[in-house]
Amino acid sequence: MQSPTVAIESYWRDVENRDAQLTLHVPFSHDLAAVRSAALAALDVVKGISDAVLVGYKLIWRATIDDPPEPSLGADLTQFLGLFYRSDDETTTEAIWIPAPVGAVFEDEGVYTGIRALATSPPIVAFLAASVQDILSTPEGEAFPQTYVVGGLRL
Amino acid sequence: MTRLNLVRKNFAPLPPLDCEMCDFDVQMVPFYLGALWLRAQKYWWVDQENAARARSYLNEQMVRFLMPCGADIVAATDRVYRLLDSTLNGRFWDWTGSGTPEDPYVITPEIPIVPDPEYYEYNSMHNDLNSLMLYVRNLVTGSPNVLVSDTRNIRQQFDDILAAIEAGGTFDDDEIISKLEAIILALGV
Repeated sequence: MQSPTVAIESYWRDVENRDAQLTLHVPFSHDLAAVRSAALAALDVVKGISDAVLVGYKLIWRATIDDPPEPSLGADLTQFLGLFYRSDDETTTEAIWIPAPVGAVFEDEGVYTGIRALATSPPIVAFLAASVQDILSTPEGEAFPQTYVVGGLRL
Repeated sequence: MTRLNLVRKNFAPLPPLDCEMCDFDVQMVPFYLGALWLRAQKYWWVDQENAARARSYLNEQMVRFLMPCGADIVAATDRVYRLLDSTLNGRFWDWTGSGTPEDPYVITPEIPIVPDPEYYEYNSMHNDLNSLMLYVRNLVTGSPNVLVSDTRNIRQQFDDILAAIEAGGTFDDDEIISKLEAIILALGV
């Protein structure tokens, strides 16, 4: 189920440096810039009726999967698979952390059995083929590094 | 109210960074990654720029736990083995792949645990030396072998030349004879 609204979680501060939170909602739109404009307009209205100052805000849109299937027997959210990428100039290394990785993505022989990702395993091949690095960005908004290096288990 | 602050925000080191080799227990790697991942979170670092730099360093360190340079050293040693084996024994090495994690090199044949002392190809230093030894042995001993059927040996040939010169009298030039004797002496025949 997809939320019909976007929540505006806003943070306010008073003269004693105390913080408060106010949550408003605006209608959902696929145009994120339009949502942001609507949120700022709503917060501007609040400024007119509050002595506190706005110090930050967060836009939250939620979607839940209707009737998701039961997790498989091996699903374990204490385990993560890190997929590491390097930038083309090899100055930056980023990682994507995937929860509860399937066992088939790991090497099944040698000292790294169950620890290091097998790059030729079908799930990894399919993931890389999806070219996620072309559509994701780093937390700083930079283009995601392009060269897959290695993957491994994190506990 | 006093808050207990367990997080000390740090500056990430600036490049260039020095590198050293160390050993580690492979079975502990998932836990090393867990520890480094925790420290890669942004709240440990003074600002976004330092957090991004630290995250990259720590990610790179995680990569090194998963791809230790020991493997690179072993690969380099294997390359030297293949170079020597090709040069000495003429072994032909074939490969597939492009060397990326998705398409790793697969080199055939595998390096044997113990080299076969009898193995060498025609185009090899091993074969050239072997042939040279057969020629030299034949030349010195006159024993025929798979390459040479001539049964004469060089000692006998020199002796025959000398005897012919001395007996025939055709060459009575003492200087020629003395030079031949000098050559024979130099050869140790």
